[in-house]
Amino acid sequence: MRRLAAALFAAAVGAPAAMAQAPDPALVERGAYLARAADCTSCHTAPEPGSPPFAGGYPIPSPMGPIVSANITPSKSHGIGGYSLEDFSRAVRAGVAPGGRHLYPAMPYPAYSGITDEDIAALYAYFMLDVAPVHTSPPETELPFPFNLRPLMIGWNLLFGESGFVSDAGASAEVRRGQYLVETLGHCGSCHSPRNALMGEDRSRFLGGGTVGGWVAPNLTPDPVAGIGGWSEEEIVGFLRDGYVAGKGVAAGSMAEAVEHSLRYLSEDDLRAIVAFLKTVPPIPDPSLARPAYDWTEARPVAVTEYETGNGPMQADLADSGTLDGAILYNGACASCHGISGAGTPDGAFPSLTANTTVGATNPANLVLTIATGVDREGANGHAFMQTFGEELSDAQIAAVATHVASRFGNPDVAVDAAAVTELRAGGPPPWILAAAPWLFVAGAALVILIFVALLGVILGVILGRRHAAA
Amino acid sequence: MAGDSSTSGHGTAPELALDRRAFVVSGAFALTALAGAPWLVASAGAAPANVDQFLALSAFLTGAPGLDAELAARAFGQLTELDAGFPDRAGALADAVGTSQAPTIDDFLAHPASSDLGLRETAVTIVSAWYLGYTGTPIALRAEDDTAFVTFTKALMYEPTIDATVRPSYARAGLDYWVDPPPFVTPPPMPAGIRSWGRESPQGVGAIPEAPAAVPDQATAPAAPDGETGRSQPATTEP
Amino acid sequence: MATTFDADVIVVGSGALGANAAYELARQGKSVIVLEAGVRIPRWKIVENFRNSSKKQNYNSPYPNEAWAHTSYDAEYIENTGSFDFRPGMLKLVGGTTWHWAAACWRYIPNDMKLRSTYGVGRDWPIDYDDLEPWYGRAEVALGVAGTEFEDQSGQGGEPFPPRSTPYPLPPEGKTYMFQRLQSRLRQMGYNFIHEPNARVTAPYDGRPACAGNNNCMPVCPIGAMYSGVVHVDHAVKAGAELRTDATAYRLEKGEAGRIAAVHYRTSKGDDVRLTARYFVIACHGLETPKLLLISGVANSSDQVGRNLMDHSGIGLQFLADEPVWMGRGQIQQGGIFNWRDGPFRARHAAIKHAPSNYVPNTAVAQRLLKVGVLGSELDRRLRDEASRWVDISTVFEMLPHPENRVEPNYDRQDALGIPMLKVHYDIDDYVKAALPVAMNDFRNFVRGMGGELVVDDTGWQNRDHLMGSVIMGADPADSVVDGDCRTYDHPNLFLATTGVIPASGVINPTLTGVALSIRLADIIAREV
Repeated sequence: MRRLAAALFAAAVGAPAAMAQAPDPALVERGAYLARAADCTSCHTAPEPGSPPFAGGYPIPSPMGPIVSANITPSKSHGIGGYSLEDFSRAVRAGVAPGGRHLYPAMPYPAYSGITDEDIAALYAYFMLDVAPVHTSPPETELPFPFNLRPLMIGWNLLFGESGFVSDAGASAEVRRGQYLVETLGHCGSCHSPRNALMGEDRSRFLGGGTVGGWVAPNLTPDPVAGIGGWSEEEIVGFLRDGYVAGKGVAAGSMAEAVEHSLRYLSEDDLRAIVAFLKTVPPIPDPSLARPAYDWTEARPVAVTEYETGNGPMQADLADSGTLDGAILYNGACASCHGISGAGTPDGAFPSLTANTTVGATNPANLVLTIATGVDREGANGHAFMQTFGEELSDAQIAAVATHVASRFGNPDVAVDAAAVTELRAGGPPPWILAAAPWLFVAGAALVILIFVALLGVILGVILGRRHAAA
Repeated sequence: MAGDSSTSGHGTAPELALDRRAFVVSGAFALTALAGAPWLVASAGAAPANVDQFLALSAFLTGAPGLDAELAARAFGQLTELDAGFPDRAGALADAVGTSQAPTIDDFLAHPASSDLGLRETAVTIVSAWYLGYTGTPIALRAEDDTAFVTFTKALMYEPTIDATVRPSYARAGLDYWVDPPPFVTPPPMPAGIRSWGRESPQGVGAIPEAPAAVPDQATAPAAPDGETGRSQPATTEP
Repeated sequence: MATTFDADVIVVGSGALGANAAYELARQGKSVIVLEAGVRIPRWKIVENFRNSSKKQNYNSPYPNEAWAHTSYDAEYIENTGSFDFRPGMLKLVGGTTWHWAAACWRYIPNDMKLRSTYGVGRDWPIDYDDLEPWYGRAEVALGVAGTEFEDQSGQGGEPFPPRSTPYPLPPEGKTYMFQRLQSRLRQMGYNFIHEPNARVTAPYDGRPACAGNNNCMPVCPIGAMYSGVVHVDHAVKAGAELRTDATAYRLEKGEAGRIAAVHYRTSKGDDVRLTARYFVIACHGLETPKLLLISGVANSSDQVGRNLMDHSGIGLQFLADEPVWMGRGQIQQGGIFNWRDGPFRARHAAIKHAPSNYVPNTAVAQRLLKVGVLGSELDRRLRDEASRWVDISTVFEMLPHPENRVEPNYDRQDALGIPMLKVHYDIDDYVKAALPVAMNDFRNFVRGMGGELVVDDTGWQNRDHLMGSVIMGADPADSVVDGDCRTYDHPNLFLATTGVIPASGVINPTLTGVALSIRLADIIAREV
């Protein structure tokens, strides 16, 4: 098989037309599954309903500004129809498009660098043969200076351009398959590993939790408090497949997209392989946490008269929606579905707010953003939907209701203020590199920095390379 | 009298001394401990009721555990505003209940004292506030009437059916749960396709008949069920 | 003649009809200003107003009744001079009265629109079903209508009808157990039960969650599954329209060549503003729209403005079935018995629609039991038993247009802005009364068929809040206010987006037809502006 694939790889280099003459349905089907597993569509299909698949145009939020995804349909004029297999391979695995144009690492090529030759060939076959060409181009990505200088990525790539994917030879086939799905295709670390000052994945804290667009991508290591050590295999599989598992959590934000576009299509074996691998990842504890986020199981009561005040005699009061009383806001905006008691509904249509990772988290970011932006997720078990409240509630009201929900159903020490909500809705606190960039570059230090980054990259690359070799 | 109450199964008398937070939930305990309702005797003499006595009287009349004291104050104030004589009437009712030594509302209703129309009306007024969640009398299609809000989420009228329907505006399950009857109802046989809309949905058979000119008065005796009717089991929860 | 305008189009009224017209115009690149007499209130606040109201059966009570923006239940707002207390539940706020409606989204059938030529009574529409059909489809997409294409909506149990060029955007919700039981038993007496297409989405749609049966369509859907005009107000604003609240239009100013030149509005602070536009769309519902025309002295060369007022005046039936049917699970209504929707009988008497209600009946049951003094454990026992067996049929009749049934400005009563309120004269006509024995026969059959005990079948005539006829559409400018495009005969740049244009009422809820007409008139204006 490997040899056949290698032969195909060799034959197809520079000759996509040749492939079209000999479509292998099994290869194409395998490529389609891999494209699911790699979740290409989440970023490469525009968010508007009915957008053509893979035609690009999704503005991927980044701290530097939106990075607009490219058209990766086989259109020769607007997509990748002119790519050879080698071109395709280089773009996917090294982040360099034909002509030497560097991709931003919103494209997870550091993770994809580990994709096998066979799988690259299958993906190529799928995109060339089974995806409908769309002859339009999405808008250009326009990042502010200096991030609009794509050659900067050369230095960055030296530092972070490869995942360093090394399979543990002693691990079971299942664990190795899981590792490939998690590290390479699923590029889970893109969100779930913390990033360092230069926005590279911090490999020393692999899957230790990160942030994306203000959302917290939780710690996926087996630590029983900070990570998912307290989740059973069935729970993790169910969560990945459905996006919801009672007593643990709900997928929202980008994770909802990952479930909808990718994970719900994975085979049972692959989902179990993911769990098997996650259990082998070094646990990353967080000493500041006393208990798992899902482990707030008792709702704390609120007196009925706190929210049942009765309408006053003034008609204008019926139109005055300015209250910052969390109990009243909860009853009006949340309780219709989640219930007065916060227990949700027994059929799971509306989740309980107790025993809920989003509500019980010490960091309330996901709670705030779920309230502000809602949930819209197709899992294997149906379409979960929570409307957005970001337009009906002010940031101060979102803060009030989030604080109320946390104090009543989750971690009572959590409190949110309006400024935090505003910042989260804008994508979260800016990373160092963005905060530092203006004065760094205004000082005319661009070149210096480039050289510095490049040199640093070379040095670190050597060190990292040695470490991998040693491993 | 006290011994009768164990069969009523309908709430209990509150504990002595009007401690509104110390209602005894267990009927058997309360009733063996307290023959009758001495807390009301203690307030006897048909003096006007105060808020605490109103709460205790409400608990007795509704048989509901855990009535909220602030809601009681709200209702008492509104009823007094509607009718300045209400505290006196409530006091008289409390006095009659106390004198009757009835341990539960059902016992009181069986007691001759409860046949007094004025007392009965006062009891209905109080129970209405807790069941319907408002005081006063609604007027249809008018912005103003003399009603005032007591409670919605604690309105007792929803409790006897809360295992089957909803307190309106709150969910009990997701889309289409309503296709099945409540789990304690056994549906009778129905035609094929009855759950469908569209082509499979069974349509009318024959011509619409001329009905007898008047419907027999059946208000006192429900018609006997035919072979094709569902039966409801008793409520599984006590309100 | 003015060379610059404040907007291409000014839409007066932000209810479902005005909002859809505004959105279509804004979407097609026109500059649009929407005037709304009331204010914007977020859904959660209205839900809290409902829960904290002592008047839960009063569907206007969660909405402010301001002296400068009355709801229709204000005691002074409507003075009735006829035999019937005409008092529909209308609101003034952003989104309009579709904040509380049953979300029924029926299409008229072809005969409904040709009543005079088919049955010799009433009036014909100047357009026919086929003219309107494409816009029905667009209105269904706009509102997110859940329905089935596979039923005979004329109620005769035949092939799917009326014809459609597009499917419903969403599948119908599941049939309630109650509906299954009524249908199982009453169909044996010949009754045809059909699904009511409705704007409660059955899957996430346009930012709205699927209906979960919170059973509170009136007075407010707590989760926004049910359509409200506020959806398209928001869409219109995102498409570039400007929304001005607290802006009560009180005068349309005539310009040259029979055109309307400006609209004047007043705020609650007493500020007066004049705005000019190329076109004007009046979308203030079937009472306020004719009032605005009459106090402005426009569009009334036919003397028909405010006349021909129709509602689907109705009656009700409540009884206790001999089995638990458990109404109150799911949405507040979902279908009807339509045997009397169409047929030769319409030459003699009104069409009839019977719709089983599906609200949680506990208030009605508890009020009834307490009224007769039921207390103690008996109260809970009977509450449960009777709530489980309660059946409520809401019946409506087709009304014919009569010039003497009319709405006028009430110059004797002014609101806080100094604007006249409303005077209505309304009598139920003989066409409806002739149908009453037919409906009562059905009532007896329903009670008998369900082995029931009657609770009430003599409710008297009831409001159904379907305002039609008051700015009547017709082919002849001598007896009609607007033409088949909803354009006033007197003013080429003045359009009316209201169910008040409907000249033949049928028995179906008119909102979808109103929205279809509104989108259609927006398309016409967009071509001309």
